[in-house]
Amino acid sequence: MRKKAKYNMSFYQKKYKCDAMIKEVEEVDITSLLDILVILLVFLLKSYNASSLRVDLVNDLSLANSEARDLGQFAPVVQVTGNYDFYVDNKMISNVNNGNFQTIFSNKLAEIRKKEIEKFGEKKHKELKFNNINIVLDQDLPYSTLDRIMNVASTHEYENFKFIVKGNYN
Amino acid sequence: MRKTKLNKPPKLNVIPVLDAVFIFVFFLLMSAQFVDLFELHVKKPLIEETSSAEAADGKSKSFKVQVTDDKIVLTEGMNERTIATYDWSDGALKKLGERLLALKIQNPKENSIVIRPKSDVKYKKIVQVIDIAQKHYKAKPINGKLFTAVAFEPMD
Repeated sequence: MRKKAKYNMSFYQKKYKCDAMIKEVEEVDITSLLDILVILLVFLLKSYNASSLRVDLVNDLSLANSEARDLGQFAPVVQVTGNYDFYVDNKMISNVNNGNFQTIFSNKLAEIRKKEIEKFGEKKHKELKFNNINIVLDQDLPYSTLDRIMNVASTHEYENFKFIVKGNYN
Repeated sequence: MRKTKLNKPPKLNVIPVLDAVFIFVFFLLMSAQFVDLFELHVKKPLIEETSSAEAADGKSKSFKVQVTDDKIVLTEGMNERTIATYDWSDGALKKLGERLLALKIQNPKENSIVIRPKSDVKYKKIVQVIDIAQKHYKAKPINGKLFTAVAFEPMD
């Protein structure tokens, strides 16, 4: 561009105008942008979680605080709110105080089990031992609620209960 | 003219770096979890690690923690002999932790503990007891969790 411009120009142009024409485009100062990016990067790195567990917490659910530091793993997620609304994998299926709660929960677990077997095949499914279940319970619920959930889950061979809690750093 | 050109410091091309950082930012934004969630591992209501035969032989101490709304009772053995009783104050919970640590040091092979909550006990109180029973120690004599296996047994 620069060479071509010089070649086609007269001596006058070369002397007085060329420099102005080929003046470098003023550069945008991106230092401040870079600063923001670095801050954002550090903030996001701090909140990065390597756990395979993904929980979209439902409303009206306050988690219990805990000193536990074990990261969660992927498994069916059961949530019970303070109003006893019962969610499995973020879908409300019943209320714990409903008379037919156990049947509904049992059917849902059977459905999840069936899907797991379809996905992995019966042989691999047995090898991998899908017996974990994540339980997210409102901190003010009584033990009887937890007991009912654990009893139904264990009938479907979900025997490893993972209580999902909020980390406290006191 | 040439001299001035040569004296100009070469400019660093940061565009590829910026591209990479942008991609990284989006990746982190997608995987960020702004509430720190962790898990407490609990076994099914019947404890597997401690067989009743072992407990009857006296090989296993069979530690149990009875949890009610107003107190915590620490017991041992099949006949549930009371070791100590605690209330829910911070000091008492600390003492429970110290007692469990002492019991673990005396019985290093004992890895399991049974929690027996009353049906009306709030979940947050149960979590507090599990926290104490599974407290993580980094130095000897205990390197790791106090009791690795926690199981539930309803009191009523």
